[in-house]
Amino acid sequence: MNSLPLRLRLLLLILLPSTACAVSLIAYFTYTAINSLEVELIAKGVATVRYLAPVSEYGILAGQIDALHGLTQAVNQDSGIKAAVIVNTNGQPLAVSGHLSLAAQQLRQIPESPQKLGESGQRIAFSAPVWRSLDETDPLFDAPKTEKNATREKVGGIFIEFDKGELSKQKQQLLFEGLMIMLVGLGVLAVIAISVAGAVVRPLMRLVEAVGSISGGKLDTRVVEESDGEIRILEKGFNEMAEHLQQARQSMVERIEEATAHLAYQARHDPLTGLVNRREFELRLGKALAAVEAGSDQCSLLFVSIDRFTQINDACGYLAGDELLRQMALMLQGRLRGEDLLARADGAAFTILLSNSSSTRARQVADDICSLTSAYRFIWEDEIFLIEISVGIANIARDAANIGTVMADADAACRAARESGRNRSSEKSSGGNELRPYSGSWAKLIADGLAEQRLQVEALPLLALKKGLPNIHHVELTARMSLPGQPPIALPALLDAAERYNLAEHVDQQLIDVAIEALARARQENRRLCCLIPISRTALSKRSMLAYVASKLGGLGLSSAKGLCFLIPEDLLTHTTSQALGFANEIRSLGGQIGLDDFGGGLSSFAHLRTVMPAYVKISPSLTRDSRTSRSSMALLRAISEITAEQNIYSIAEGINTQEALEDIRALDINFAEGKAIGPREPFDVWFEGAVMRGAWNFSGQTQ
Amino acid sequence: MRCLPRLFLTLILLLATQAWGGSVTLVLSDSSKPYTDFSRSFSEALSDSSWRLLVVTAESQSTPLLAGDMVVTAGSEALRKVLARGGTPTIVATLLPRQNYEKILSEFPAAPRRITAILLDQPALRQAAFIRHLLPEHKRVGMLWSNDTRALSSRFQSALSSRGLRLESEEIDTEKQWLPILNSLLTRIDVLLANPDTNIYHRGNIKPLLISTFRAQKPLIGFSETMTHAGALAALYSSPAHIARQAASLISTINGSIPSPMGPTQFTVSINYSVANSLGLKLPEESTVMKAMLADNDSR
Repeated sequence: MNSLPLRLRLLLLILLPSTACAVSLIAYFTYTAINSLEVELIAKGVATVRYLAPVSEYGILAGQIDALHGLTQAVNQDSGIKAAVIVNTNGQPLAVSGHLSLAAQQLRQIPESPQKLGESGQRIAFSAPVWRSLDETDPLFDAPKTEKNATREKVGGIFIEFDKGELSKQKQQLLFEGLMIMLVGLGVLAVIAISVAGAVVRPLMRLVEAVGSISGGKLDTRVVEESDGEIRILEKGFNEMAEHLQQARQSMVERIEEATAHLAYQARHDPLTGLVNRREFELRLGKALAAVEAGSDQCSLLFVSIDRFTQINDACGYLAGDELLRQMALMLQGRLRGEDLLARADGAAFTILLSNSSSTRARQVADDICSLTSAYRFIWEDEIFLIEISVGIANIARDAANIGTVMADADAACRAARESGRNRSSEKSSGGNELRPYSGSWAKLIADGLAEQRLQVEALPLLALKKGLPNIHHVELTARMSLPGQPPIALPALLDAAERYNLAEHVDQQLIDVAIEALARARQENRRLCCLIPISRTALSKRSMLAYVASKLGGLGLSSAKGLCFLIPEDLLTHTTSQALGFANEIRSLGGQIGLDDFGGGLSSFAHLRTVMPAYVKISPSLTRDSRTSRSSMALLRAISEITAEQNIYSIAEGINTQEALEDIRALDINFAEGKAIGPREPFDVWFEGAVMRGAWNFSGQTQ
Repeated sequence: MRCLPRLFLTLILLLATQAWGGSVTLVLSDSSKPYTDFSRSFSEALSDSSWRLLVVTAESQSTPLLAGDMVVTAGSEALRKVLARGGTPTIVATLLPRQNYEKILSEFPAAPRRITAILLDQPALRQAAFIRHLLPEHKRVGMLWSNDTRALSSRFQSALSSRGLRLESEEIDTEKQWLPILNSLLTRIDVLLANPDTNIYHRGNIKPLLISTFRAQKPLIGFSETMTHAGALAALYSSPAHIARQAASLISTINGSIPSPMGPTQFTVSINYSVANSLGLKLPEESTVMKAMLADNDSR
């Protein structure tokens, strides 16, 4: 049953019980009707013989054969009666009508009461005895008892045969009618059942088909909502579910496509600059190689590396480095044609693929990029940096081996350019090993600037934040170089550049000259002054610097270097620890002091306190800048403050530009502060004359 | 039946003092209505006399009755029982037809002959008179006889002819033949007169007989009221009360000699007017007929 289709099951469910019910009802009624027909026939037969018996009594007694014949004839008029016989007690027929099938032997056996004799073939026989009727008489005239004990006397018998053909015909008629009624009823029932089952099953089948279609992936399948009741709820619910499913899938597909596109973009692009990345670049390069090999015009690969990128990163944080990369990307992109491809290689390097480009054009582009870069100044907060690049050129001819070779050639050319100086390019054609460096202009600029006294020394005054500090004017020396037609170069950038061209010593000497002269003058005037001088890496490694200091002191009649404090950047300490320690000891032996610049910017800051034993630490601006927002910076500042106080080291916070920042620093027990909130950056002579010589600057507070 | 033990005790006492002759024993065939009617009428009739009456039923005793006893039997069975008991009583048999009386006596040839009877058979002359008064136009009278009653034929013939009627009679020997014989007789007569004869007129015959006469459109005159009810046109008969009164007066007159058996002195008639209508007969009132009968000397 469960394996049958729903429609068939429904039909069976409706038809089976109904059919069983109808068949049994019709069978019952037909059987009853046939039975009653038979019972009726028997009753009729028995009644006929019972009535006939007394009627024929007189005829038998009187021997009136004619009368008896009349009786039998009359009986025979009945259509159902085939034969009637009246016999005497001996069974001899007195009157016969019709054709009798009973044997003579049977006629002699007259029963004691009216009854059915039996059936044979198409006939059914009945018989009744004819009794002598006994009437009431006067007992007085009766015979004496011995004689009058007479029993009922049988005087004859009646035999009748009915035709069963009529009965069976009626039975057949009844059966036929019953069957017809049943068939018609079942037919009507079947029609109703089929239509009912159809009405129930059709919408269900539609739903089944729709479910199959949906599971087959056709999400736009819907069913027609035309049923009633629960089926309609089903249809509606199905359509809603299908709608949701379709929408969900649609949005999912969209999101997947979006994410895929995003991923594909990310896979091919550098997130920082938005340029294509190295992988994508190599793919394009591969295609270009294939194209050149197939006969296209020559093309060139430029490898551009930003020199000393890490120093900018270290000095101003990675955000500055990121910004530099972005600006460089924009600048390089601006120089290129639409068909050229600029990509970020690794770290601080870019690669450029120049399509349909001769080696002449490649050199031209490389020169343009170098000159653009030398003119470019990267400005981060109040710092200004000179940027230098090295450009390696690899021309891709038809005989270029593969991507790796071309890339290696460009990289080698780039290294060669770096070794030959800054802002230079070097070309290596894919065919040979020739390297042709091109000179830049930085060294000449700095040398010229120094020779022309363009280096201006400036003062950054320090403010004592606590009482009980020595009553001394503290000032940090800084400098900037003004070049004609260009923005001035700040000291860090100047030192950086100067170091590369061995010019740093000149910068250091100039600062030392200014400081010692100021000290000498202050001592003459009995003013107490402490100059903090930033020095270059070169100064740490060259004994000549110490000698220069000593001779300068001696030249101005100063016995010790007291009041001089040399600021060593912390990152220099990390790389050149032994040189720095040696330098520090020498300075201390001269009577000077050592300060640590950019303290807290590296991880090993606290270890340096023990080894270098500085008198001052200048806290890294990266800490003070976000002291308000970063709890870790605040905790570090507090730790620095406590540890330096413990070891009697003065702490200095730089870049304090607002009053709020100043209050924060004061609350942290920092000893000194410098920045716009304390005093503006001004030419050292101006400051010295005003603050120290004329006492216009109160070291612990405001202008008097 | 409750009084039977008492009656039995009385009888024992009576037998013990048999020297006394003023007692009469009434023996009833059974306790059915005609006999109790008889008993009542009989005792009423004797109430003014000096007779002591003892009433018993035939089944209730078996002791022989002695000479000097006066016994009245009512019905054939009572007579048979009394005779079977033996003894030599004086017997008055009543309420039985002549045929039965003679048949019972023939059964007891050794019985004493101090016996007489009041028979139910109406005298032939009275019957002839009755026919004349009832059906004056019907002259031919048919009668059926059996071996037992054949002897009466001549008596009826003379009686009928004395009243201007003619007797046509037939004899019947066996059962089988009687209906054809009757039918042939009926063609020759105007009226069928039935005389008590158990061979002919019994329960099994009444209906065919009546049907035959009716078919023949011939009236039947019966001998009992029951026959009138069954379909006879009329009947001349005596009731048990009539017989009882006659018996009461008879026992007073018996003195040494015994009279021969006699017919009833009192009688009545009954007419079935439905049958009369069916036969298309216009009959006088019963009372008119009775009055005429009583006025007729022949009917006494």
